[in-house]
Amino acid sequence: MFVLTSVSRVYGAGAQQSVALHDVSLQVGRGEFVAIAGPSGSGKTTLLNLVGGIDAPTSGRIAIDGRELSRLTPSDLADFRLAKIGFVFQQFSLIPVLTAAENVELPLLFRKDVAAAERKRAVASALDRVGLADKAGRRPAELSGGEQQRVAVARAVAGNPEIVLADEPTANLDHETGGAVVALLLELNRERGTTFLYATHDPELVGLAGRVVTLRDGRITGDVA
Amino acid sequence: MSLFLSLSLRNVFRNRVRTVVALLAIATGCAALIVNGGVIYNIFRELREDAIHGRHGHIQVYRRGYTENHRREPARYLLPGFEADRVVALVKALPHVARVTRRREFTGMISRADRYVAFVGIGVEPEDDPEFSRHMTMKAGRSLSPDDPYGVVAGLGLSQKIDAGPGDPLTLTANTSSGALNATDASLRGVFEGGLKEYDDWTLKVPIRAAHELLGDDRIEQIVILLDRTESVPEVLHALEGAFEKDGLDLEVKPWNELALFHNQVVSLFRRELDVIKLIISTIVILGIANTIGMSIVERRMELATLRALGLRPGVVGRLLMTEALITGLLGGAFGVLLGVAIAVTASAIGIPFPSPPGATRPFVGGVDIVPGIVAFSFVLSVTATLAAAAFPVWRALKRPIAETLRGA
Repeated sequence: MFVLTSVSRVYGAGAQQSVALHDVSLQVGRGEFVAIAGPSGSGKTTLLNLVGGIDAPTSGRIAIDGRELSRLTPSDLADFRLAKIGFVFQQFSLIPVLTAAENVELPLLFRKDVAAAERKRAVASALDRVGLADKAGRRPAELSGGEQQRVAVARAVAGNPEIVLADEPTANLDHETGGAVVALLLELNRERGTTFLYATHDPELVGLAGRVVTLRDGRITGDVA
Repeated sequence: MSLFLSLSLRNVFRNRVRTVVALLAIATGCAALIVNGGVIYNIFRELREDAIHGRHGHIQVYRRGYTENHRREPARYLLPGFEADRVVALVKALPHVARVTRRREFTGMISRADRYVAFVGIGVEPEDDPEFSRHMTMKAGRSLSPDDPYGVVAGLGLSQKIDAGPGDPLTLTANTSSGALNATDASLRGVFEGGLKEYDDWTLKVPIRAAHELLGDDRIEQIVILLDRTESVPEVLHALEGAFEKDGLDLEVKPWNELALFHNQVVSLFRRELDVIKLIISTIVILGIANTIGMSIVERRMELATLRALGLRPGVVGRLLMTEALITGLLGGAFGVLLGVAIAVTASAIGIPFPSPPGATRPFVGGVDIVPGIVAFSFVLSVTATLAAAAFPVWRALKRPIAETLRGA
């Protein structure tokens, strides 16, 4: 599915230099449900950003399905993310002026391979799957934190991406709601065979993953299936 | 409506106070352009009407070569009376021609008591002159009359030079076409103000028969034409040239705008001023809006980074932001047009007292013309300025790395 080979990411320069990832190599297969564990500042977000193509490594190679991301132009990379990757952010990152359904629909609007009718069906199905069909017309401000994150999950999976990257998806949720969100991700992984990679430092949520990659100070210190 | 457009619209009205401020800035700039342009065009119109109805008429007809050579050989470019009659009859038959008159210009000396002053005489047809002098103001006395063949009217400056008022006897002296000195008695019927100081300082209007007597022939220098509307000038010019050619008349025709040099100078000066005002207002709008749009984009940087992370191309996100700017510009421009037109209508209804323009003698009450070209230009400029103002903040937002923005760095 995707392969990271000797990937390093360094921010800043000189005295301000900070190494977020150091010589990381990782291979994740199709359909895996992987937790990236580690304390704050260990490089979890950087790893997800690099895999998602929204950041570029300082050195090393990242290939997804054989395509090396560094060779893609910004527009090609955007198309690649649109078609292959779904994101779930810690802050939900929904568009406040759009309803839940419109938030889910927005990325699909730019998919040339998804016709209007199919798009509407995909939105309804995704919202139904996260249990928010009855709140499709509500704006984010009218939803609870857990509901917003479920909308974000629906947005991430509506286009049937091959990989879903979730960065601390439960950090802003209470324990019970967070557990429900991860359980939802797990169900989607089993139903659709989507590859999930989520970052968390919550040991209980880590336990739900089929594979746990542990990071510390930018290095992989554990990889347990 | 597409979700894309709907999203742009909703984003525009997301922060209503800021949007209102932005719209006000654009609308004020747009209205200022419309009003400023309208005032200037009103002055142009006033000057144009002064030139047409005070001095030149819409079109003048002369013997060919007159414009270039009449100062060197004035006698050679005069039309005999019978030929002038033929031309007048031909001109009167054309559509849009409202009135036709004959004129003869000459120079001479005017005396009253011990004062002896040079003047530029214009022999005019008294029955037509009031219509050709609608933009002249009689400061004292009355205008020319067919019933008073030796009653003349003088410009205000000329009357002051000879210290004469209505009813005062005058003696006019001029050279006849054969070179002899001739004189005639006249009386001052009235004093006029024509709008141009130079004109008023030297001009004496004389009934054309009296002028012919003084000059010793019946020749005509100019045939002056008034039309039903100024916009018909090109059409009538074309028709005149065709008619003269057909009748074998070797004449030249001049439209008012080639004769009204003062008008042309003022128009040229004010057009330049209008360009400067456009530049200043555009700059103010761009600076004002750039700040507002810049703030809006900075506040939404996380959201924009999210859209890009979700796979929207930089160009698509840029298009979204520029669409928002376009909507803002269109709305601001539309409000500006309404505001500008409302101000123009109100100001024109009330009337704006203007001092006399440079070189002119009369103050006038003007208004604000609604000039479709300026209204359209102001609207387009408002939209363009808003797009220009948005361009840099949008470009900067799109250049910022996604991960860096999401990290909140």
